[in-house]
Amino acid sequence: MLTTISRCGLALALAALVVACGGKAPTDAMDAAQAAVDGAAESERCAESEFRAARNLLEQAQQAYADREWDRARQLAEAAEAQAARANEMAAANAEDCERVNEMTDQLGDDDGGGEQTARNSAQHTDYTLDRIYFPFNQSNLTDEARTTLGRHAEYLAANPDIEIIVEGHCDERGSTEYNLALGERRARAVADYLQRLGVDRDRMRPVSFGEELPLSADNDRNRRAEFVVQ
Amino acid sequence: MHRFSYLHALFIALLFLVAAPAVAQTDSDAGDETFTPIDEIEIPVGGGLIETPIAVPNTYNLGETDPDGVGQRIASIIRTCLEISGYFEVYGPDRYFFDPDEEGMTPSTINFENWFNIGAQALVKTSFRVASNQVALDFRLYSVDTGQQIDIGYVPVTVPLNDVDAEVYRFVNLIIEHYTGFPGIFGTQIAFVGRDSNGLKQIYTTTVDGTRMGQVTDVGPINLLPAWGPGGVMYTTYRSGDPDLYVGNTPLSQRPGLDSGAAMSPSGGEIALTLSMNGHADIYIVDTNGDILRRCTDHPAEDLSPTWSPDGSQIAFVSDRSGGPQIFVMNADCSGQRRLTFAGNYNTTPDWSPNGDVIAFTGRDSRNRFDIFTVDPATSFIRRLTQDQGNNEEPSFSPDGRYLVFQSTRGGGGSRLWVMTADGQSQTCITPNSTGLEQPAWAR
Repeated sequence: MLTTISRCGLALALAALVVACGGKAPTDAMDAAQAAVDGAAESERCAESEFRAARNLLEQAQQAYADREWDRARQLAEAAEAQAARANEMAAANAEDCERVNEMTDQLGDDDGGGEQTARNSAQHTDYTLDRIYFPFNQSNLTDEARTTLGRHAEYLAANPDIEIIVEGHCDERGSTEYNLALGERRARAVADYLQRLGVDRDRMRPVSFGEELPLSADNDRNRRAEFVVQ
Repeated sequence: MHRFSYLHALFIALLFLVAAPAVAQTDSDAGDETFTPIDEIEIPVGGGLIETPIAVPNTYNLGETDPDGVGQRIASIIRTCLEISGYFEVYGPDRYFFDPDEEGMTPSTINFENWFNIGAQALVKTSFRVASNQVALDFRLYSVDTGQQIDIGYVPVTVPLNDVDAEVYRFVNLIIEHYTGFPGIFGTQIAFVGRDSNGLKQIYTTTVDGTRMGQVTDVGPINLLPAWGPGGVMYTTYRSGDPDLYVGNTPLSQRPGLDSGAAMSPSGGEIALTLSMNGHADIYIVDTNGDILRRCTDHPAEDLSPTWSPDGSQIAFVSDRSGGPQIFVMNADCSGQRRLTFAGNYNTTPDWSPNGDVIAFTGRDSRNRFDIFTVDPATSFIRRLTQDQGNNEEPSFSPDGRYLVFQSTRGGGGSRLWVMTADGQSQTCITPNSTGLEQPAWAR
């Protein structure tokens, strides 16, 4: 049987718990960000990386929101909104060049007559980096973040069909040399398989494992990775 | 009453919310329904090895010159080898309160009471004389108690300078045989991975006592997993960009994907190895030209690291078909594949003892430390050989199955090569002055 004082204490504890979890959910900011990114969708054609950055920020905001990290979600949502605006500006500025290039590649797509989807590309991104992706401990599964990155890579590879790549699989330094060779290969293959499902021709990709032999850093989280080398 | 219940319920609900993340994420070992932690296996407490105290004074130079430091080398090798064998406590010059130079090689010139007083039971007396690229060697073992020379079957010889080491090993192996009943293993070779002056991984060899090393590869960027094979050391190299199997400088298997983990059969006619050209790592058997004789596994899981039983009838290997990597065994014709290890969730690098009775392997415990274990291929009984001494991995048996060489990070600074008796009782570092040494393979 709780006394009045205990009940008040309980209520205070509950309130403290709620406050500690970060105050109010930023639903306004989330809605605004979603609207901004939706509204900027047209800009993907001519300001591809700027638009994708906005979309990426929105996804991170949604993840933070789902984790109930309100402050972080608010910050990311506001950043996504600002980035979407920038994407629109960039698309407007690039409009003329962008249209010219798109006409040319559309024509090429028709000549091929290959039945493959025509690359929804915009400007040729010669400075596009095939970023690394990372893996959880002892796994070769692709995280959501990895899939997002690979989605971008697939678009880039579709837009640049002459490019061939080596997909390197790496492990952290714990564990046996030979088993890590096998694990690294599983990672490289998982990446190549996924890119293939996104339309990249398997012949353009060569998976190679380096096991634990080429660590990037003392931080093992950064060593469990796949890297891409353009040949 | 009503308000109290509501608050109480809310509080409990919130407790669950806070407590929920504390429920641990399951390990990567989803399919392993018989998981037993390997931590529960500890090193059995037992009597240590009986160590005979043996004095080894400096070698007498009966000649005029010693341009190659032969004298120093003889005594040093004897001391190191007896130490590594695990059955001796070696007394060097720092233990003597008298000067052995005032003695000689023969009983009448030796003051046995002095040796007795420092606690020695055995005494080694060695001398040499260099004469135009030949060396006259006289090695003797004395019993301190009786003052008599012990006949171990070694007689004085004269050999070329290059053969002196072999003679010293022969003498030491006979001493060990006298005290233990089995000859020592000194003079045999161990291949391993080390780093060259550019920091690249290369394959090297060393004598067991660590005093003489050779280099097998000098091509970058990475060379791994040495094993003794037809006419030389087999290893996996990235010199072409893809991991290929070579023996010496000759390619043996250059298939796409992994070509690794090669193990020659006891008869020498077949090589088991790991190939992944068909989409996942599998065990294949090839001949000494690298042509495939049969494919042993075709499982979507990774199957790798084969090792032959001494009679060539079975092959143990690593497979993660149960979730994490475990030791499996099959017949040499690939039939009868069955799992051997049922403790721990990360067991790799098997090596089958030349005595056939156990398979040594590396096991990871729940603190993510790696240790050497053995498993009985008939009963699956697991025994632990190292514990709480850094990370210990990649065991390889000596030709007589009485010793294991392995890599250990104990002592800090990186991994070194260690040798221990097969029961784990005596463990000695054989490369105290180098680090970054791994993946040892004892020639058999």
